[in-house]
Order: sequence, then C-alpha cells, then structure tokens
Amino acid sequence: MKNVLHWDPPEGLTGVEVLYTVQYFIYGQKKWLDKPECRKSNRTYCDLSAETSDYEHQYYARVKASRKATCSKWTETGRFYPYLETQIGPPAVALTAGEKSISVVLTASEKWRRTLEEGAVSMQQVYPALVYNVSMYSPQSHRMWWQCVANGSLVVPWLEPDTLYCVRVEALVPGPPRLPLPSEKQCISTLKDQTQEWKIK
Amino acid sequence: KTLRLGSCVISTNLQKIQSTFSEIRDSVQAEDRNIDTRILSKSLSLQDTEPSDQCCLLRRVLRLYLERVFKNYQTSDPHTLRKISSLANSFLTILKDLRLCHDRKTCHCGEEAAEKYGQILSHFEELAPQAAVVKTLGELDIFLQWLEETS
Repeated sequence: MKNVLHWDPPEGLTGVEVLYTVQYFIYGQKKWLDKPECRKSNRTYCDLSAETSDYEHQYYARVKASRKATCSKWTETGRFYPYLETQIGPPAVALTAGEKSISVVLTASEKWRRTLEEGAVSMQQVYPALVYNVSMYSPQSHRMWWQCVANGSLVVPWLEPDTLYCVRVEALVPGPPRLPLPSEKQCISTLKDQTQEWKIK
Repeated sequence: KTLRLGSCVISTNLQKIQSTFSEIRDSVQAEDRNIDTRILSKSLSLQDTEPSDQCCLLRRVLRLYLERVFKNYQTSDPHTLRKISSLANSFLTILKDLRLCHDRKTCHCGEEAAEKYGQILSHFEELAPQAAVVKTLGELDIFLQWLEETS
C-alpha cells in the first residue's frame, strides 16, 4: 500500500526557502523514528510506504519546518491504520464480446512493492473477502446492471447483438467505509447476429 | 457476517459496528496520549488463538468493553455518547449469542484464553483508569479487525 504524507507550507512564508523534517512512530513501540530522505527537505510530501508496509500495525507521522536557525513545533497526524484506511485500486478489466453476452475477467490490483524484485502480492491475498462491484451500462437503451462478484470472472447474458455496452468495476473490502476507486469506463460491442446474416444472403 | 469461533458459530452485523466506530474513531484516538503502549497487541489476537479458546477470549474482551470501557468513558458530546451506546448494544447482542454457545458447552475456557486475557487485563490495569478506558476504546478498530479475521 502506497502511503504518502502530504502537508501545506506554513502560512505567510510562500516563496521563502523552508526545509521540512519528518518522523514516524509505530503505535505501541517506544520512539519516533527518522526518515532520512525526508530530513531537511524542501518537498511538502514524504513517501512512508516502506516504513508503513506492515499493514497490521498502526502509525503516526509528524513534520516540522525550519528556516535558517529557527524551527517550528512538530505537527502530528492522527493514528493511521493502513489495513482499514487503504484505498483499494480498481482491478484490471478484460472484456470479450459474444453475440448476446459479454465476458468480464478481473485481475486484482497489487500491493505496493518497494522494488520489482519483491514478489507481487495481490490485494486479494491481503483482503481475502475482497469482492468486485461490476456495473454495466447500455448507452443505447440506458439500461444498467450491477452485480457483485467474488471470483474474478463474470458472463453477462441476454444482451442485444451488435450493441455497445460500457463497464466499470470497483473493488470492495469489508470494514469501515472507504472512498471507492472505480476502474476507467471500458466499452465493447456485442457481435452481429449470425442468423440474421445467413437469412440475408 | 458469520463469526466462526471453533465450534461456536454466530452471526453479527460487523459492518454496522465498524461504521459506527469510524464516526468517533479520530476524536477518541486523539485523546490517547500514551502512544507507546498498546493494550490489544498482535500476539494476543483472536485469530492467532486456538479455535477452541476463541469463544472464551472473545466473551471476556466483550465484557471488558461493556463493564469497564463503555460504562466509564467520559464525554459531554451527545453524538459520541449515542455511538457508544450503539456499540454497547451491539456487543450485548454478541455476548447473548455467545452465552448460547456456553450453554451448549462450545465455549471452552482453556489455558490460552486465560493467559491472553490475563495479559490484556494487565496492560489495561497498568494505565491510569481513565487513560486505560480511552486507549481501549481507541483500539476498537483493532478488536473489530480481529473479529473480521475470524469470520
């Protein structure tokens, strides 16, 4: 899970060189820990994904500003629980058209990795109860379908031949409400009705 | 949601409980200034407990929340009070269902349940009373995650 801390510069100091230092804390442990890449940095964000990769722990972060010899107090976040607060990215969606059906194959997004050498971990492994909310829409008839799918595939039957349908998919996991991140809209047309074709010839 | 605790199986509306707590979570956790201690540590979790002891451990932690946390949490905010009352009612319902398992002899209290609950209680009692109440309430998201992982 990619976890990036963001903050706003102090008021009234725009255009002035301000440097920031970030620390993080693992709830229940003993001390604040440094993030070297975010010490005396002029960026207003800090990527703490590596430090918060054990998603079953809870974390705090804090940042302070400094300019020349003066330093601000620390500003601290609330308690951050990656397992419950992570936004689940949409799955990869593959559509295949039939004459009167569309097949939808879904591949869960992957957990953030430090390096590519690290093995890929699917969000399905992190959240075994993950399900997909598949919504399909026909621009022509304005009809809409929803279906919740636990495994990664679905065939939508009884469609009209030679008709455009659009699909959007969202991954849902149990727990407190989270901001949904639906997939991009993908559209595909069902195939022409072969029986009609033969009659015409 | 179905909770499988060894041979004791009950159902509960976990999503509703999680949503209720998420409405007061930030404000309650912000009151907890002892961030270097944790009462519900990972090693004591329900899902890492022998299935036969899970029901008993759950009953005891539910009672801790009902008898020493929800009852003693001090706030003047009516919204928070309503949410805590809703949480308490949900916990009472679960406890009632677990009592049926106890009556049917499927809620055995073994050594592991006693050992783990003992540690939870000692963490709780190491803190000043009100600090312990605030911290345990703030860790409800951890406890609910334990329940999620036994379902």
